[in-house]
Amino acid sequence: MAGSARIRIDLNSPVPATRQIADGLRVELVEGRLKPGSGLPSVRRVAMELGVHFNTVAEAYRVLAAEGWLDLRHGRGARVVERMAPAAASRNEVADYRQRLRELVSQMRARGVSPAKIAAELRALAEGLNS
Amino acid sequence: MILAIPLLAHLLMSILMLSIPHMTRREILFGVLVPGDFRSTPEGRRAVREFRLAVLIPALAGAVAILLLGLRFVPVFLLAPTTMLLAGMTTFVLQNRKLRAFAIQPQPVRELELSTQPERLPWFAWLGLAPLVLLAAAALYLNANWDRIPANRSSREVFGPLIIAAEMTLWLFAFALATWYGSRRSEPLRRPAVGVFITLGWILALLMPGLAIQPLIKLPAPALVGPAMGIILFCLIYLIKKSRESRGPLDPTPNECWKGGILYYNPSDPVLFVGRRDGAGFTLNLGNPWSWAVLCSPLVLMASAFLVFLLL
Repeated sequence: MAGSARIRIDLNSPVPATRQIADGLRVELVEGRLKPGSGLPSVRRVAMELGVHFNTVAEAYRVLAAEGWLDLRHGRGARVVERMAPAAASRNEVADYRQRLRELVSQMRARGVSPAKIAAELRALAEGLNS
Repeated sequence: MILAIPLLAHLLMSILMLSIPHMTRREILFGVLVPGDFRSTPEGRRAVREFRLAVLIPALAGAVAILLLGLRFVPVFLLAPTTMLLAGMTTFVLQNRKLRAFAIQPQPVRELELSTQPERLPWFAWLGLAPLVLLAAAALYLNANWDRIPANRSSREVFGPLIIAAEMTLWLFAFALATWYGSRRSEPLRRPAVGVFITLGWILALLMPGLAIQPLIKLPAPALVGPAMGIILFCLIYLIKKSRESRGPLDPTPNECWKGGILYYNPSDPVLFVGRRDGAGFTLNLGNPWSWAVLCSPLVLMASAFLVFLLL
């Protein structure tokens, strides 16, 4: 496992902590910093460090296990597994993601992030996808 | 001379109470998170001044009472420091309430490095079990020289302190483990606190055998108690220093979970120990059910000590 994999949550965010943890872990999984075979810290440790309830972390782990990223076995903790390539997203799903991206960009603009900065961030992300 | 010890103890406690506002890092004053430069504002200075005055008056009055009444009215030895402590704690809570108007919210963002490395105890934590060897050696020495021990000494008097010291050593070791595994990795006082618990175990291991072998080797009381008190004072100063030096982001425990700036109650936070806001070291998260087991553990220790004395 790459040493630099980390997650962060904002306790004041309106987004539930479970989703923040699951989203943060998914980013690390997709970007390859968490590789198949590597283990994740125990639910207890993650909950303690982030100051959230055990169930919050356990639920996030379950979400990722349901998506096929993690293997949860009692007594062995959470392990990253080789994930089978998902079926191509439907046109409706792609439209939904596009809408969410637009909402996120609007949110950034509303919070004062300049269009140039947003464009640079998106470019960096796109370059990351190609590399 | 009889008055010297209670007077010294009272003065020492008064000094500690007076230094409470200075035991924490700059961003915490009377248990409230404040901007870093708040202490130098008129409100910050006034709060500290009021606290000092509220402690200083009963501290000086108590010292005078010990000197004047100590020989005729022994309870003053207890009443003087208790009054000073009560005055100090009450003022602390009152200042906490006043300063809440200036409180800032802790940084709500928490970050975690996803390391699966097992949590290794610091190497020195294992030294916390070594005092048991010293205690056992003292017990063996006493047993081998049983004939030289005056006949009026019972086995309870000779071995009792050693067994109780062994129990306390184990208790301190368990406390060190609980502090390590029950606090966040980001807590800067985690390592120093374990060190202090281990040191306290060693003090016991040196003090109690010293007392137990008194029938065989007479050691003057100051030679036993003096270094122990010195080391305890050193530990205290060390913890305060480490606490004041703490840098980096503050543990984002929510302000509303702190009662009077002293007690932390947050059932949503699974941590057992959090950094204190009213001084140096750790306090329990009373919202964690295990905290009650920790709080009751001294009672179990006392009950088992009583049992040891009954059975021996």
